[in-house]
Amino acid sequence: MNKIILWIVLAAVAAAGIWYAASYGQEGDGASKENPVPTDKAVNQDDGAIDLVRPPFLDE
Amino acid sequence: MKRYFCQMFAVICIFGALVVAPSVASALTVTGTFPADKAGMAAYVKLDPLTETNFDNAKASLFDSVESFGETYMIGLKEYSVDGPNYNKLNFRIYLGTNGWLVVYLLKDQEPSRIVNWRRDAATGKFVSLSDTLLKFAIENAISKIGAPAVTSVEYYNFAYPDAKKMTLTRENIYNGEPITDDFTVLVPGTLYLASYALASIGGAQNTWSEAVGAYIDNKKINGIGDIPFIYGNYLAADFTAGVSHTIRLDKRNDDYPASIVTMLFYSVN
Repeated sequence: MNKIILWIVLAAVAAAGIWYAASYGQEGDGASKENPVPTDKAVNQDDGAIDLVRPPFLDE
Repeated sequence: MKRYFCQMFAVICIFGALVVAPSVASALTVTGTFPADKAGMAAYVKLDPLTETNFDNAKASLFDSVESFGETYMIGLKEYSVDGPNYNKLNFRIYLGTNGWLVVYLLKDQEPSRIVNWRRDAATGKFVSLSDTLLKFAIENAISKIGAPAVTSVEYYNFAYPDAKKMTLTRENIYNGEPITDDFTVLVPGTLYLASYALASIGGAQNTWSEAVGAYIDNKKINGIGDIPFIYGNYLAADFTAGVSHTIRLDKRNDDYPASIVTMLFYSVN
């Protein structure tokens, strides 16, 4: 019984550690979550994804 | 005899349908007036049909020189400053069509990151927003010079990468007095077609250092700046890959001059 509890505690600690490491490694100062960008961190927030649109005159 | 002629007629019709018609269609496509095979990064707008006065205005006050023209279009060259002062120039090509299309573009072999506008706010010294690209600046300038009504937005396209559906510009700035090194991570989803960079060192050239600013991806050197303020290039495809988090780092030698790296990504999300 004690071993099962020990394993559960260890698993919870490991999961929390992985979550923290992933979050910390992907962010940093000034991270912006508002921008619809493919970057996982936008330092100076100028970022923004722009659609590239095939010009209609190519098909005229 | 009549049957023979009918058979011949049928053969000619089939030949025409299979060989001649596609050739004619192809010829019509490739003889379009915009040089899509030579163009690279571009911005465009659709205006009202352009008049002779618009074209006269373009020749008189917009184009530095006319590269080519026809009955329905004109392409001219125009030099713009990349940062405001009268040095550090960039030539754009500007296409005007009688049907109202206005396209400002770089050539295919020019790095797309050359559209970064390095102007800075006079009061704060900060770089202007990445969305205020030189292409946008040139489009607005061209519209004004030819005497057409202003537009509210421009569209972007990269003729060199027609499958790319998205473009993102992301930057790292280090201003005076800030720590002399900083980094950020980038993860591009889907398919990455090109990653281009622009590197700036404003005033670092006044120092005697051989390299005032250095840029790195995953600790591998991308490029460095010595005695010129701006350099441009493309990341190696092997260094910048989709689906992997990459760290872009900017280093300076001292904290008394601003530096910046802008990364421009062309990709499509699957």
